Amino acid sequence: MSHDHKGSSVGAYTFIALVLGVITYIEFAIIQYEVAWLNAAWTIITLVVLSVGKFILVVAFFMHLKDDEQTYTGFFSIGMVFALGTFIVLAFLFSIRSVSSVWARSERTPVEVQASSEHPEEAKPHHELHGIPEHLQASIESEGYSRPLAEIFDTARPKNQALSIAVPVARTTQSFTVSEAPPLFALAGQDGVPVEETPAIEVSAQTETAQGFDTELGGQVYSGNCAGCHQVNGQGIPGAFPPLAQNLPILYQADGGREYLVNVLLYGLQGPIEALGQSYNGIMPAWAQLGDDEIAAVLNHVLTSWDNVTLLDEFAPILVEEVATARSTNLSSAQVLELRNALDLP
Amino acid sequence: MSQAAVEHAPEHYRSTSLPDPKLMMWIFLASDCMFFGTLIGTYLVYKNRSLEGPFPVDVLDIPITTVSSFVLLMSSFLMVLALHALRTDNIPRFRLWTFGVAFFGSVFLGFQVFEFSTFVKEGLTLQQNLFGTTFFTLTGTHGIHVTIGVLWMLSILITSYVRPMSSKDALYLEVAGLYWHFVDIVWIVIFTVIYLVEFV
Ligand code: HEC
Repeated sequence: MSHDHKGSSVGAYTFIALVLGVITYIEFAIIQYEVAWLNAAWTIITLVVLSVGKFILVVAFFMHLKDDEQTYTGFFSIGMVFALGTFIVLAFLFSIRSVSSVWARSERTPVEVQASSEHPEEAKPHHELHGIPEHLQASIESEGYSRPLAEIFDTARPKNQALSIAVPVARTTQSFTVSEAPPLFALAGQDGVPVEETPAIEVSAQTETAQGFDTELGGQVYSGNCAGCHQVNGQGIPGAFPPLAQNLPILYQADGGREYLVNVLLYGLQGPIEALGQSYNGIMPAWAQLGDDEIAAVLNHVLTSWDNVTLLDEFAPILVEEVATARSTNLSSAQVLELRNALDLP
Repeated sequence: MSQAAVEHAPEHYRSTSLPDPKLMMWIFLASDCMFFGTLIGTYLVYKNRSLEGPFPVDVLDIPITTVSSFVLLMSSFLMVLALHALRTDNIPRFRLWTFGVAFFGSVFLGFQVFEFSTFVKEGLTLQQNLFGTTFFTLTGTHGIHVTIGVLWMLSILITSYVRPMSSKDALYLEVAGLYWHFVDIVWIVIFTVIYLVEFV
């Protein structure tokens, strides 16, 4: 192609500039005058479409890619593809919890996950744990759940904190049993425990022996928020982030430990502590922006992962209501430290 | 080696017939895409993870940013007009539009300086929270790009007074223009993703 670009005429440029201006105004108006008939997801989609439109107009006409050499388009596309790739990978690496919980909410159906034991013969005498009364299973869900796209970008927004009580319909109800002695325990589908292979003892979620808690959500919350510091294997980093593996059962079994754990999550912790013989003096952020159900789920997740559950004589999952109750106390992280110091730890 | 051979030497190594400056600019822009892609990605990763305010909804100002976005878009428009004028050897127009681009770019920067200083007054600094860190890094990097663009346009404007310019120089203006438009499209993305979506 020759370099004597005809280019577009001034008239065409002016037209495109006008369109760009109008689109910008529409974008502004959508946000400023809150269009009632557009829900959040559609608003975001509209905004994305409009700005992609602007993007393409500028690239095609102002940067002349439309009539210029394909090679330029090629190079630029490679850059865009890498940028988008990085972007998507980052989103999945770091917000997998919010992304997947959106999908999960739309697809999840009540699944009966089977409890299993590596030694089924030992699991015969069912240790009866306190079942969760059905009326307590109501959990607090934020209205955000009906706004999937918004949630992808946005997990906890001060603006949207209107809460409504809803009875969870499609939450995975996990039921399992704990064998008497030694308390071998494994959750189907968790780390290396295949769902099918183990001869499972099926316990219906409705029976008294069943414990209901959402292990799937707990795992997602953990990998999305905690694993960065406490590590995927729960070992923490000596001197910087205390381990949750082995450490948590000790805390849980101390008098008041259960409440302490809920408070650590809600209000954070700061100050000198000792865990498994190592001292720490860091900052554990408060996670008040997580939902009560998410906090309960992640605590149950960490209490039952990494063989922690084998160190517990008895385990009753933390309930959503306990978190809700603790939320009203409004402690400071210093008070949480006092709570910890008051624990009678071995 | 004869003089002729020296002059022709570069030709032997060419694999495309594309003008070097332009090709280089497109390759640079491709890499800059990744740069901004990562910065925007980082912003989103840390979105809503600030433990203390000010939060985006507290400080971001949609009307003002809409105006500054519009100014930047129109500077892109002036850019194509400047290029068109230079290609048609209309030097006075070319100078006028080139000045216009630099001027509109400076207005945009003025808005940004105003925005940043307002934010700092409201307590949002680079170190305040994750929002501050990622927001200032992203928009600051963009602002530096705009600043470089403004200086570039001014240097072209000055050059046009130092030595005569004609349609033969259009390639250099075109390359500067590519850079300018790119900075503009990055802002299109930032405006939507960081500003507008926050208020959905
Ligand atoms: C920014 C890093 C960081 C993140 C993210 C983090 N923690 Fe912590 N966590 C800490 C630090 C540091 C401490 C110890 C605080 C101290 O030294 O006083 C701690 C302490 C704890 C404790 C108390 C341990 C003890 O021995 O008393 C629990 C429980 C805990 N974290 C759970 C979690 C959970 C669950 C999550 C995810 C929701 C999480 N943490 C996310 C850094 C983090």
